[in-house]
Amino acid sequence: MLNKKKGGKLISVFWLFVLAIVGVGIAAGVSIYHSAEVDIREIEAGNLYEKISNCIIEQGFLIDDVLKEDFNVSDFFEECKLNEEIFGEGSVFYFNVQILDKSENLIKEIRGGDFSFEGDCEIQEEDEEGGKVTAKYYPKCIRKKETILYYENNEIKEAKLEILTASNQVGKKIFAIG
Amino acid sequence: MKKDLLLDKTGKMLFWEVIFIVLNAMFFGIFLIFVFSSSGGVVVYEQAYAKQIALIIEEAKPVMEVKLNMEEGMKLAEKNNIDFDEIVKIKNNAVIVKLGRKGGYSYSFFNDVNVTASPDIASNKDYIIKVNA
Repeated sequence: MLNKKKGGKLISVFWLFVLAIVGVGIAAGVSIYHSAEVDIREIEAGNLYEKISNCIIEQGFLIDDVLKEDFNVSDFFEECKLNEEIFGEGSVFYFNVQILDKSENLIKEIRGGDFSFEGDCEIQEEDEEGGKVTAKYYPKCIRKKETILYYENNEIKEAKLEILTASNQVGKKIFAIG
Repeated sequence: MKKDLLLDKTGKMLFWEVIFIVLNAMFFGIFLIFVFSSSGGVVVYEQAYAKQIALIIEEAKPVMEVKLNMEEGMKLAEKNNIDFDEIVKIKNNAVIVKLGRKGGYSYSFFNDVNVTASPDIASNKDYIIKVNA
């Protein structure tokens, strides 16, 4: 049995323990608050989609250059004023432009950035049963399909344009600015 | 007289109680300092401004000039002795915002444009972002 003195010391040990828990809780709360990220990946993916879409479609028509055989990814970057280096190795962006004919056969495909995002985007899309996988660290994706027209041998033809864009950029704190 | 304050009824020193109160005061003092220094907001504002400017650049079409109110950021920069023209830098397709002494926050943009950023001389609150061809 503890006498009053020893009981007092025991209570103060518990009190210090409670203070420690409260302190850790306050520190954790403040740290979580200040390390919270503002997530704009979906907005960025949307911006990239708009930029590509506005670049290759003019008044409902696909621009002629895109379907030329020698029109490659570098030409695409130049045409749409995208920085090719940013879409190079270790990129945090991805785009895939597919032009399909009426029967959904692929006519042309242009893509750039981190190709692994394609699979990550598919995983997050709704499946046939309406289920959806959400993954916090996967890229945010925008996929849209639309019907467009194009000229071929002076004839107007119909095609489907599918654009997939993705962003997984979170930014970074840097400690030395050169 | 002074000695009486530190003695209990039986005349014994209230040693442990005094230590206990001092430790409590130190504990809460340290945490108040931690909370107030963290709530300076440098990291949060650096991130918010860097992302905001990157989005502006991504959505802009050359030639465009955007005036961004960075009043809170400029106050923080002034407090940390950072020159106004050092707050926003555009390097290698990235926006770098520096409001404190420890580096800054970097966020990239994807378009291929020439961008310059400079403080508005007319006001001490705005930054001018120029998107050139």
